[in-house]
Amino acid sequence: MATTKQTSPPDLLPLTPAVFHILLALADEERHGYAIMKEVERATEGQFQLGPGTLYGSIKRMLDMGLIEETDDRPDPVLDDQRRRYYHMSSFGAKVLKAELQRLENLLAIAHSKRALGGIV
Amino acid sequence: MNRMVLRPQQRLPLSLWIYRALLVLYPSDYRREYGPHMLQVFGDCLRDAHTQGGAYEVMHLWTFTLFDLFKTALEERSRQRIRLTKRTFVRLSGLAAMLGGVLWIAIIVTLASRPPGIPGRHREVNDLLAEILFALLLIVGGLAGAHTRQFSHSRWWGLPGVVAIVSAVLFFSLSQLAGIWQFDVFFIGYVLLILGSVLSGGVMLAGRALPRWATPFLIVGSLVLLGFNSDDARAYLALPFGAAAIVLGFALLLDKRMEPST
Repeated sequence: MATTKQTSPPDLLPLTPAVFHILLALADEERHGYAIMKEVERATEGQFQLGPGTLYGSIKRMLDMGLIEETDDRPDPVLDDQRRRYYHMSSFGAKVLKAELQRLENLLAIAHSKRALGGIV
Repeated sequence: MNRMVLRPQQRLPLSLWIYRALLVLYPSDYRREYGPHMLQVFGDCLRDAHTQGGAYEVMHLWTFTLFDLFKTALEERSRQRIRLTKRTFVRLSGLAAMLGGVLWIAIIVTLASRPPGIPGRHREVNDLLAEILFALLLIVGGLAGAHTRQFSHSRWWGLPGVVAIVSAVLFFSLSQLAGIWQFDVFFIGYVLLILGSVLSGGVMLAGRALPRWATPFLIVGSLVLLGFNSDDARAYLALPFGAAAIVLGFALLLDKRMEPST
C-alpha cells in the first residue's frame, strides 16, 4: 500500500518462505486465508505449513507492501462464507515473485556449476 | 442440515473459545483487524483435524498452533514496540495463572497415579521438579498481575506474598544441590509456598479489587496443601491449589472492572 511506489522488487528480496509461498498460492487465482493455507500445504506436499498467526501476519505485511490486494468480489453465499476475505496478487506482487524466482534460478545455476557437488543437484 | 454435522464436532466450541481467549496476546488493533479471520481459519483447521484423525490430529494441531501463536504474537508486539499496558499485563498474568494451574493439576495427577513408594522409601518426585517450578513461576506471574490490578488498594502489602512464593521456588531449586539437607531445604520452600499463597490471598481478599469469589479459593487451596504427602493418596490434597490458580487466572482474564492505567 504505502511502499509500492518507492520500493523496487529487488529491494524486497529474498522473500521469507511464508511470503514466497503465499504469493505462489495466489499466482493462479484469488483465494481466502484458509484456501491459501491449504494450497501451500498441497503444493509443498505438507513440508511447509502455515499457522493462522503466520498466515495473517504475512498477509498484513504483504498488504502494506502492496504485494497483494483484497478483492471486493465475494463468492456465491451458497458456496462459501460471505465473511471471508479474498486476496489476489497485485501486479507489483507478480514482479516481486518473478524477481525472486529469477534469484532462485541463479542460485540453482551456481549450484549446478559447482562440480564438487557431484550429483547432489 | 447443520445439526447433522454438529455432533462429531462437539469439542470445537471449547477449542475455539480457548483460541479466542489466547488472541489477547496480540496487539489490540491487530486483533481487531485479523482476530475474527484467524479464528475462522483455526475453526476450519479444527474441523479438518477432527475429520481426518480425531483427537490425535486435534492435539497435533494445537501443538503447532500454540507455537505459531506465541511466536507471531511476540513478533507483532515487538513490531509495535511492545506497548504493554497495565490492562494487557493483568490479562496476560491471568492466562499465566490458568496455565500454571492446569500444569500443576497435571503434575499432581501424574504424581498421585504412580505406585506408592516401597516401605521406608519415598515415592519418586524429583523428575517432576522442573515442571513443578515452571508451574509455580506461571502462578507467581498470575499473582503479580493480581497485585498490579489492586495496587491502589493494597499498595505494597501484596509484595511479601509474592516474594515468599518466589523464595519457595528458589528453595525448591536449591534443594537439588543441598545433599543431605535436601529434605530440609525443600521443606522450607514448602512452608514459604503456603505462607506466601495465604498472604497473597488475604491481601487480595482485603483489597476487594478482584471479584470476591476469586480469592477464597487461593487461601483454602493453600491451607489444604498443609495435609499434602506425596507418598500416598494425600498427594491429591495439592489439587485445590491448582484449581485456585485457575480460578484466579479466570477472574483476571475476564474481569472488566479495570482501574485506569497508572
